[in-house]
Amino acid sequence: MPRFPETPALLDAATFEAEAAAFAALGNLKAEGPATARDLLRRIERAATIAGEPVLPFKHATLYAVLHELEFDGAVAIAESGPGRRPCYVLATRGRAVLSVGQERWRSAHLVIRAAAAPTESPRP
Amino acid sequence: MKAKTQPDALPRTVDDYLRQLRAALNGAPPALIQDALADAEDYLREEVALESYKPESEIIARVARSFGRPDEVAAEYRAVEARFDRRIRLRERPRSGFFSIALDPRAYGGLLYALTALPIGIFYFVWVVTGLSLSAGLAILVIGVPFTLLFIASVRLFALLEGRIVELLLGQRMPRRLPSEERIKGLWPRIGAMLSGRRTWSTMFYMVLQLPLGIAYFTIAVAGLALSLALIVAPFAEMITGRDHVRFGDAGLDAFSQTPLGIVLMMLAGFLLFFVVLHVLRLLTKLHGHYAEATLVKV
Repeated sequence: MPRFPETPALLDAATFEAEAAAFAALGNLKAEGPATARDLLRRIERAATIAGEPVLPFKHATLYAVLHELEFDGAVAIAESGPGRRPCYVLATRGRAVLSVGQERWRSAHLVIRAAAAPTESPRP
Repeated sequence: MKAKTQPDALPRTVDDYLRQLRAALNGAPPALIQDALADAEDYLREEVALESYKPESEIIARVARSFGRPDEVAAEYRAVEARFDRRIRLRERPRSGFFSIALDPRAYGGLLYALTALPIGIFYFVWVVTGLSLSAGLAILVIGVPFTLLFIASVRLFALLEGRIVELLLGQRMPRRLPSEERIKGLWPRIGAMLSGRRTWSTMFYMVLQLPLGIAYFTIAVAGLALSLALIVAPFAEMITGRDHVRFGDAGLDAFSQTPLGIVLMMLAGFLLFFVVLHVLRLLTKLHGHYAEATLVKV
């Protein structure tokens, strides 16, 4: 699988990747329902490929690690044990709230970055 | 903490990968190591099973790109843990002062843990003693082996459950996943490994010791709370009912406790005792969290 290009060292890549993994997981749990960590990854990869971005912006291990954080924070809960006693994650109420705030933040950040990077006509004196 | 300067050569097998990951996590909290190893093993074994027709080294090389190399995975788990720790510390910033314990959520977690420790301790004790006795008694029969295996599996599940309770109430980082197990081929070697595993016996020791500890925690919590609340409430009860509810066994002291100054001092003593009980339980349960980590976590 191709790797997402590494972020230049001056930026905190770990936090960016962890946040991306967290919101991808929360979004997918909301859209497609409960899943184990492995199934979540498969579903996110499939959705990303359909959307034309087959390279995930985080390593698979990041998603596993972030799920622990989300679980302890109450954003996701373990509903049942999946195959092979794997925990099956379900989106909790707190996770819905975190997701809606995060999606809005990422959407506006994306718009600003695109707008800022596009050439604009400078105002005439 | 040991810093790794150079990543090891790419692992060729699942066991190699897990060994390197364990080495890269050296110095991290034991519960974090257990969780990271369990996650990695879960992922790797599934990948290997899905493509069993391919050489394991080829699958591991691909997995190292998608899942991450052992050193990258270790760094990832450490980063998530550090971020999470920072958030917890900000949320539960320790406040100085004797009375600030009233605002510490962990103090009430400790109190709840102390109150539930007795019934849970009784259950653990009965479970382990019954399980061990029946395992020994049934060892000569055909059902002896499966019974022992089931009993050991139940002990491991209880260790995970207890870890969740300890983390939730006492704030000690405990495993969120069952530990990964080395793949040992053959029934008897597996049973031997389960029986000789340090963690199996340390978990049983923990469960047995929960009974005396539970009695101690419960007694301190109930006696301390009852005494402090009684001292605070007794003067009001005496005013309402007109009867003497507090007796010290000394005529002079009993008479003094009826005076306005005596009543105020009694209420003050009850009030202070309540905070002392919270402090004592907070300290005891904090120590218990470290003891639980040392006993229940497999590294």
